[in-house]
Amino acid sequence: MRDPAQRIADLEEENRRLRVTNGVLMDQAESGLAGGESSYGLFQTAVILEDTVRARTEELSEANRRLHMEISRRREVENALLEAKTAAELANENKTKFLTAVSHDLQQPLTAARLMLQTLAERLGEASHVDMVDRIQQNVDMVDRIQQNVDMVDRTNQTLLTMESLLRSLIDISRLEAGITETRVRDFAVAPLLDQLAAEYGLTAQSRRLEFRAVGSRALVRTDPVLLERVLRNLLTNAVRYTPRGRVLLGLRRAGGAVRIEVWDTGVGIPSDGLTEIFREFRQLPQRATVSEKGLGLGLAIVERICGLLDLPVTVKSVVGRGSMFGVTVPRAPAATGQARVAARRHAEGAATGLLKGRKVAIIENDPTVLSAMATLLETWGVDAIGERSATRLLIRLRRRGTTPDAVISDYHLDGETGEQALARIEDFFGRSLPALIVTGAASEELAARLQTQGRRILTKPINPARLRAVLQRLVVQSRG
Amino acid sequence: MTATIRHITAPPTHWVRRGGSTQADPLKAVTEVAAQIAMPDPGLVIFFCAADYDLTTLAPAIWRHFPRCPVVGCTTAGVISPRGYQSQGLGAVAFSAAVLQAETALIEDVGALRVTECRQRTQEVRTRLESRTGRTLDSGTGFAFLLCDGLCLNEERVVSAISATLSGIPLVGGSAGDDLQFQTSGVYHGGRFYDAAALLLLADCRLPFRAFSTHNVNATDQRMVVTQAEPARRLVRHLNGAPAAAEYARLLGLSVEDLTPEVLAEHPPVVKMGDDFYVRSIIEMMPDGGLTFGCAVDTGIVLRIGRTGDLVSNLDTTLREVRREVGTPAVVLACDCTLRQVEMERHGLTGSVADTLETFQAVGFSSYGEQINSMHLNQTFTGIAFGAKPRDA
Repeated sequence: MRDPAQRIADLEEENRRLRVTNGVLMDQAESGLAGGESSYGLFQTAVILEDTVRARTEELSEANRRLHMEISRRREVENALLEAKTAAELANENKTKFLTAVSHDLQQPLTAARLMLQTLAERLGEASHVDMVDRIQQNVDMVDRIQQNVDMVDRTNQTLLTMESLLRSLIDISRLEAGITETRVRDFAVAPLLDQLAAEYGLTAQSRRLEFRAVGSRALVRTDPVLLERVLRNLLTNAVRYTPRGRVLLGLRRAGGAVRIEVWDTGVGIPSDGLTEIFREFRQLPQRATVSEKGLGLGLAIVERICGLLDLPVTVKSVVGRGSMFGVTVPRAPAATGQARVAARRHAEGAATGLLKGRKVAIIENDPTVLSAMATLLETWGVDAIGERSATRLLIRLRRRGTTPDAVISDYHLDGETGEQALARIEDFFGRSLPALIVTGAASEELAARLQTQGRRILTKPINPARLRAVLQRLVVQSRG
Repeated sequence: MTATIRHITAPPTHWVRRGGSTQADPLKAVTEVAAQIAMPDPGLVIFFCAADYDLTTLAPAIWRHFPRCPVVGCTTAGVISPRGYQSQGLGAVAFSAAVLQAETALIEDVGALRVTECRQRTQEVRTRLESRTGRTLDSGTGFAFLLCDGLCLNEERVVSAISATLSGIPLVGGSAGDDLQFQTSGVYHGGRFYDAAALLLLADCRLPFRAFSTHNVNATDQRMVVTQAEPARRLVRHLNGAPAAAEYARLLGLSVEDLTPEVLAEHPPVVKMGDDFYVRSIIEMMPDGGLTFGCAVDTGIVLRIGRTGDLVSNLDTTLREVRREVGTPAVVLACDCTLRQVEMERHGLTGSVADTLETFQAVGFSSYGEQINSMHLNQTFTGIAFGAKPRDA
């Protein structure tokens, strides 16, 4: 045990120290905290300052960071705007170039047509003033000149057709641009469409000495048939246009729940850096430019917009100098039902059993290109086509083969006689009437009425292959019955 | 303290060169270091030397080697150079004028500092530098380096006056030493050493840099109140109403006789301000039982007993953080409290700390106190790290 007196002394000492400490703290509390001119006061101020500076620095760097973000965001917007502006300027520039080109392109055929009409008018005028004697003396001349005049009308017609197609492209693209193109998606069999296109473009390809092949299909697809046709027409037009020699192929392949309709060509091809470029409007690959051939460079822009509208993926493969493939992927109709299936079956049966298959059809056409194309078209339907450029030549050939045709197709304007007369000669030869079809550029009502009374069918040019086929089918059925 | 010779790991850059010598002969030491830091167009040379050199020989020798650029330096309690910690000899760093422009000013008689004059000096230096470089100094491009007499007991007033004029430009500094003799320390300016003076250097620097300060002292919950003090002498007479040394020993569970420099270095008092702790190191125990401090003290302040933690990892972490900001440093200008050396030596850490410092290309000295911005601190590692690649390069 400690001495109590010592303990009291210790406690008193502790009490004293606590009182001193307490007093110092109370003085300190009264004199306030920071500041003062003492060295320690300066230190306290420094610490507080440091805290303030640190807080402010943090605030500043945060503000700085935000500012940087804002700046970079604005820079991005600015860049995007600049890009958009450049794109717009480019588009504008392209449009200006295009307008210059298009006014030239439209003016040229118009001028040509006007000149040709003027020439024709003059010639007609001359002809009416030439007296009878002269006419007889210049008989040979006259025939030549009439032929020239007919050629001129044909050429005028051709120029006007070109203009029509140019205008149609323009209307298409402006409708697409204006967003007023309506889509009517439905299920349909793709085969009739492909057949029709094959027949038409087969004719065109033939006239350019290109091989044309089409692959059939029984697929049912779901999209807008009219717009799909526009797309394929544009692709086919390009394929034929950009293929100086070789082949054009229209095919189709399955791709999961879809089919891809493909247009192959052995044409000039597209450099890989031009693969997106070509889909812009008014862009064309460098080529020999004649108005009728050139088009406006809108084809692929139309393709892209329609396909965008219908959500049909477009595929391009191309090797420069070797050729290109453009593919459009179209969804298959989910469940092949109803009309579409029936149509597909009917079409398939038509093609397979072939009302036309093995039928002998004679063709009289004085234009060798058209003759060859039509024969090819008929052959794709399984027809045994026998084509000649005059009734006489045809009769020689038929006699040599010892066959009678199931039907005859004749152009109305032949060299030296009409189709009407040609058919009459052929029927005379066989001693009976034959199912026959007259193809004519423009049939007058009088002519049409007369031919009909003779039981002839008439098709006007340009020939729609689907109609040609339908008419032919009826004719051969008629011949059998 | 032993000098450790080590391999220089990082490639020397042509913007910044470091050197060190342990030659006892001042002329030989200067020649050796000058060769190591030589460059075509130096913009600034900073050196640190042992206090036992014959300064009257050393001072003009350095000047002769670098006659055309600012040369500053001070006496120390130990040198940090590429050779590691040196108890004697010379360490130095040179910056190319291509990356650093500097102006200096001497502030004399800092013990009786005239605040107005000090501010004026600072402003003059700044104006000189800005008119030479033709651009305004800001906290991103400019820094201040201070070498202050370590025995003036007045660093708080000096940094307070200077940094008030710097408007946010970071300041780093160290108090010059004299190998723990506590007699006299010198700062070098214009070719000679000055006693009781402070040397202020202001620089415009193209290298990225970062000022930092770190320490490894943690506060305990043991608190005490300074009940009697003599602020002018940084002397605490009484703690908790009892003689300071005795009370401090009692709180540590020791007797007064146990309060060796090592014990005091490992248990420095700490003040808490806000959420932060600041070390107030005890320099010396007075015969009358009072304690002298390395920084400002006053009656009424509350101290806590501190305890040092892992010095090596604290330093390493800090330097890595700094490196993330400026890249691999070309040099770290270091003011490393001499009391940390006491701790390092006691625990045999000197070698590994020296390794760390060499990894980060340090040059500096053992200081009697460190300054950062407007604060004077004890027992810290305070410095500026300079990146190797100019910001605009």
